[in-house]
Amino acid sequence: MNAQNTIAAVLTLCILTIIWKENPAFRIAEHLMVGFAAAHSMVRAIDNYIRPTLKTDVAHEGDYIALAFMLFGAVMYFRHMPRLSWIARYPMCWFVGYGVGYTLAYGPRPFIKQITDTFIPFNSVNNVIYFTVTLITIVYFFFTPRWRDSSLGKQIDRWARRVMMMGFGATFGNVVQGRISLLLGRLQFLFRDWLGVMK
Amino acid sequence: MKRTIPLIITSVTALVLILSQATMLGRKLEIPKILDRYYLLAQAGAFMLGSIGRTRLHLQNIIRRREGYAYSIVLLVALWGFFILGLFQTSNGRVYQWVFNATLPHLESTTFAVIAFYIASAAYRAFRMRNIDSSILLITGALVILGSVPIGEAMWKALPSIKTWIMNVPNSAVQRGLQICIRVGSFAVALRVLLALERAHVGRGSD
Amino acid sequence: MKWSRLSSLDVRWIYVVFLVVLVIPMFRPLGLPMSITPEVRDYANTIESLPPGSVVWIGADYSPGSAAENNPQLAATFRHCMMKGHKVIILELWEQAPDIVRSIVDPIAREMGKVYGVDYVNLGYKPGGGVAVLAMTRDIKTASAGVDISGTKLENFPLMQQVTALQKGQVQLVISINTGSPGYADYLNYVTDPLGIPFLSCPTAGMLTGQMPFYRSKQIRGLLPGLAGAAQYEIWLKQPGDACRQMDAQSLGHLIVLLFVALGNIGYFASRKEKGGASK
Repeated sequence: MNAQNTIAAVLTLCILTIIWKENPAFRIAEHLMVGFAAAHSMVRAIDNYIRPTLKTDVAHEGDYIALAFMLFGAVMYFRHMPRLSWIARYPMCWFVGYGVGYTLAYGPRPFIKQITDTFIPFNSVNNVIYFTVTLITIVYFFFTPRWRDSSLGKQIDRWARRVMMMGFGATFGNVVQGRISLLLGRLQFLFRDWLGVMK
Repeated sequence: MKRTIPLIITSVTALVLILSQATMLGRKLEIPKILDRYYLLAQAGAFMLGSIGRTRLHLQNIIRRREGYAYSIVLLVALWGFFILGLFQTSNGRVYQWVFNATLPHLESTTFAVIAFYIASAAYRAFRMRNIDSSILLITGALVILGSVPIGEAMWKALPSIKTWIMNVPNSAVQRGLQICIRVGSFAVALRVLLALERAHVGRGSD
Repeated sequence: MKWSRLSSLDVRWIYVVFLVVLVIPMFRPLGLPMSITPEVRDYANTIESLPPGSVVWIGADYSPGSAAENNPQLAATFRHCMMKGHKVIILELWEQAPDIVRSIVDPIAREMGKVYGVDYVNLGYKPGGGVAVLAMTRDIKTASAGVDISGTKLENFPLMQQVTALQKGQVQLVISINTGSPGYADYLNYVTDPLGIPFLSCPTAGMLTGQMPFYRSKQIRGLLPGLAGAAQYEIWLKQPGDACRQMDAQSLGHLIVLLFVALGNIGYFASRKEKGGASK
């Protein structure tokens, strides 16, 4: 039971107290977490990217364009100045343009593969189910056609909802598994790493 | 100036990237090779954005003595104290690593672990077989829950196979359907942004 | 006994029972056997079938929040790669990942006598998400500011002299250990699908359902879902570790959640019946 683990265990217990009720111990731990996380993100960005770029590319190799683009990114800080916040739109719009460009340039390929893979031969019951379920799920999200109000449209809606419930049920089952795993990780830390009462 | 130029920047950037991937000439010129680096540098330049926003918010809490402002002090001390330590020591420094290992991973993993309790409570309070839809959800969930763990296999040998079938056939088909719809939606939004029909990212205000 | 009272228990009793049920098997394991699912088998076989000396790229994109699920996946994957003599390059797109990753891979490498820089390199955190991954396909040095996790220059490492870009021919397999975005979708869109590099994914259990369509279309060759996937992989490797140890508690945890669902529903139907009876 070393000091580091003891601090970690106390903080762990502080967070766990929230299941009983909201309390100062939890809120202190919660605020510490936000503070430490934000600080660590900045330090990692500096260590793994910003410092080496400034040291090697800018200072050694004189790549001042690199510096200029870093400063261009830093223009985003103007967001926090109400009168000058419009300046932050420039890098923001560049970032958005980048996202849009790559979504349209690279997005279709894996997407088309998903579509072509849906057209499978009807040589097994599973393949027929797969095709039908995919199709009615897609149809469910077509809001505009007039035939949606017909009895066929309503039948498709009903069955699409039901098969989607199967998908959501599967997601629920997996989420349960995931969350229990995280709690087990904490219990293992408390009993094994901190208290040393478990192998 | 305030809105038109940023909108042009968005459209031109997007077009350049699309053409650089979609055309022979674009591939030859390798423009993204240069642009990507500048994008990463600009992203790195904005690394303090979240922290500055958070600091502003919590400083206002402290100055105006809002309820719970003491917690804001805790947050700011942790944020800037840890940052300064990291700045001088680097993230590989001994003290920095010691503090990191004693705090952040444990705080964060416990915060996510707490959700397990809420799932247990939701299982008890919210998952009701009210109609056919919710019954399907519950039964599928139960089969997946049991089929994923050894005890399910011990109870009924067929459970893992049933779970595998659910995951591979109906679930996979539903997820594919949903993802196709989401992709179509995201392409539509991307096109609207490219054509400057969607302008939410430049906010409101006069030009 | 009034069954309807079952639907109005103080939820804190639920928490206490839940906790006790999870803790007991941690001290007294049940030793339940576990079978290996096809997606985990595919995952293991893909790594196994690579020729020794192949370069495996691991995108470790998670934070401490999901480390309990992702750490055992990373540990087993890294161990398998080292056992087979593969070279491993690790990149993190989440700021908090590098320190966790280092705490997992370095002890395994030491234990197996592997040398940093020769057998594996940890590039550390790089900003930019998907664009950073895309930039790696053109030139790793430029995209990573030329340094690894500790700030050492990449040209000092023999492995990084051999691998200059995340390209087919230089990298034989990409693995994403993921819990959100950036993560597997970036590798799928920008690297593995356009370049035709085989791709494996280790999602958290909650993310598994969304990745199943890609497994079916073979865009993802194999999956290691959550802690259960890691446990099965450990069994496949014949190296039981942390994941295997937790599976009994996981089993009882699942059972108790289902019991809560059943209790809640019994109470619900009983109270509905009572109300129906009262209204008559």
